[in-house]
Amino acid sequence: MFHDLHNFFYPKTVALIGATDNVSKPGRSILENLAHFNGAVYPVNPKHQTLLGHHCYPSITAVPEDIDLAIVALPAPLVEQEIGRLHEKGIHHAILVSSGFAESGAVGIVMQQRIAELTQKYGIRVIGPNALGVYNTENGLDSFFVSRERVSRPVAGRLSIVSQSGAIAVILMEALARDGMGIAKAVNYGNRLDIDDADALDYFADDSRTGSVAMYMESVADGRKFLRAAKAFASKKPLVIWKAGKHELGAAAVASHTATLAGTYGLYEAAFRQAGAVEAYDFDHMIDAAKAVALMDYPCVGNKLLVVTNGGGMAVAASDQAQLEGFIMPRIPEPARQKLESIFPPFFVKNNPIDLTGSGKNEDYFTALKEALPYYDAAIVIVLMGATTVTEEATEMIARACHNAQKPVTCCILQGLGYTQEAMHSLLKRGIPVYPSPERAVRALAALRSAHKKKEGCT
Amino acid sequence: MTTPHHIIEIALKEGRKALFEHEAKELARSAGIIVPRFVLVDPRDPKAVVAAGESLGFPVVLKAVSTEILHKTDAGAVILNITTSAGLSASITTMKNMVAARTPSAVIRSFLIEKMMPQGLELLIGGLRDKQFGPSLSFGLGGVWVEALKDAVFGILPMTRDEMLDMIGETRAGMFLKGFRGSPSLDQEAVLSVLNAVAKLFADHTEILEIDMNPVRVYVRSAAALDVRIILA
Repeated sequence: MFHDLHNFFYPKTVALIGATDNVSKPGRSILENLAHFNGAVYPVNPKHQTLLGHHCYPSITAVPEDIDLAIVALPAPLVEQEIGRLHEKGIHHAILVSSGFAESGAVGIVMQQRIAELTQKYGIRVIGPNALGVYNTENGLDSFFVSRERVSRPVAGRLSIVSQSGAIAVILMEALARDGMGIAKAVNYGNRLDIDDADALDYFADDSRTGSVAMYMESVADGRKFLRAAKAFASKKPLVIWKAGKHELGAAAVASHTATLAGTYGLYEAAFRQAGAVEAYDFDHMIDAAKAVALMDYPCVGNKLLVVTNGGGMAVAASDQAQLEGFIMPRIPEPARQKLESIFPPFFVKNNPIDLTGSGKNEDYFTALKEALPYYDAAIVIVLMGATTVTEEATEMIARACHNAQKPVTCCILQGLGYTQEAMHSLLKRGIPVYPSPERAVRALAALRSAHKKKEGCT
Repeated sequence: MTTPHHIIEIALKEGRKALFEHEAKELARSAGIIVPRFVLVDPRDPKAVVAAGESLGFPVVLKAVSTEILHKTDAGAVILNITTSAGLSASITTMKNMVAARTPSAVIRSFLIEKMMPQGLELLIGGLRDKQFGPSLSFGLGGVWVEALKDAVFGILPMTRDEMLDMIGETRAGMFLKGFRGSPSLDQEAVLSVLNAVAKLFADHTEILEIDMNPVRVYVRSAAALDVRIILA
């Protein structure tokens, strides 16, 4: 028995109602994006015989095949009567792209309510309205009405995205695509008339393609249902959640301290903590944490941190942040220190941080990690690409040492032009999360630590 | 003795959303929370007030019970650390005048005379029934620190012991409980019992919307709720 969301991600036949060649309408870009889908696509629009090389049907009921998923991109006032046709056609899954419902005021709320009643009566499961719908890298299904020329799509990977906001889903996908990071699936559920945050987590918990989830929300559909689903998800896979809209104060007069202090955010914070989610505090932090949990295969099981650098200042900054995040940085144990002393020139600093100085070479990173990392739970590795003794090959050395030790490593390579960018991509390709500042590299490691703590149920 | 259900029933019948302090404390006590010993007396009977002080043993605290007063301290309806019978008599006059001056509409229904409790770490412990998340707990530093430090965090019920410890661990209050810079470690088990008692109150009485205990004083052994406020739905 498949989860209800399975049919949204794996239809064999998709109808697009409101397909058009008008470039200013969503029905155009969705149709273009469906060209990447490896199933059958049936555009519906009474005004066209053909569209972008497809035969176009005058009505959904005129489509000769059974339809697994309908994408409805019609103006809001036309959606209600279309629901009747979906029912007539025997369709049980619909993405309602149209906006102009509950998010837009009283009239929209009434329209949405009527659609909720109808779809419930007919047994039609709904994503939306006011939603981009789904993106699935496995079969190319893409209902997002954002053209690929404007917003590139990530390749296949293990991270899935759940977002209440369409805009955030899109920006997050593009940010990941920019770094060459892959995703498994994405869903934007918008006004959540039916499918909501908790349903998405339930589905991804059992989806073998999904290794972790990055989630954006402004509010939950049903708090207790969400907590149950998030808890179940996070007990299996890392969950990173960013909640925005933290500081709205309840308008109602409050009679006690407790109510004043709660706002609404206090309870969200509690839900995330009890669920075992990694709470991201802003957009960048969500991306950083998502990258870490998606890329790094080795759990961060403790707080003993090693820092390896070729520039002293950056290591100091990393150490400061490490302390804030609850890491400790014990000195290199004597056997490892003696080993390093025998290999490295005397002017390398064999404390923790290990400072390879501006003379450190590619293989020195490998040696430092090989000898010291076994004594620690994780490492931050800083590479200043300006030093002429290091090249992109250093990234290969770091990745190899990380995989040999099977301990989590995050890297800091300062943002720069061509040369440093290539080094960053080389690390990402090898499964090593890399960040443009030492603080962000440490925070990403802390996210890994927190994801692991929750999964193990220990504190 | 009045049962908790009866207390809630009476308040709702009288159209009161906020329980009187002695009623709220009765509910807290029914769930196993330690509250200071108290006596409730008729405000027209000054002799009974003094007798109550003597029976409890000085020092005592005097509080006015009134539907019209929500924040007792602001209304002059609390006098702490009264050490003699004469002091208690004088306090009654002072309080009547103060309440009349600050809240002219207030009718004092009764006086609450309570045993004064020793100093201790002051926490805020409570909870609310949220529309989205259902019954929840609040926890943090209490007393004068509530507004200044905003230490409070929340937990969604039901909670396991580990989840409660996680919640405590998020706060500065948690740090003080462990003992800080030479101060002794305090009774964390007693704090957990109070949290569980609040959870029980929410589970047993669906009419309860908010519980606010501030301060709960924590000692090396035991913890007591010095002020309890309960709001009904």
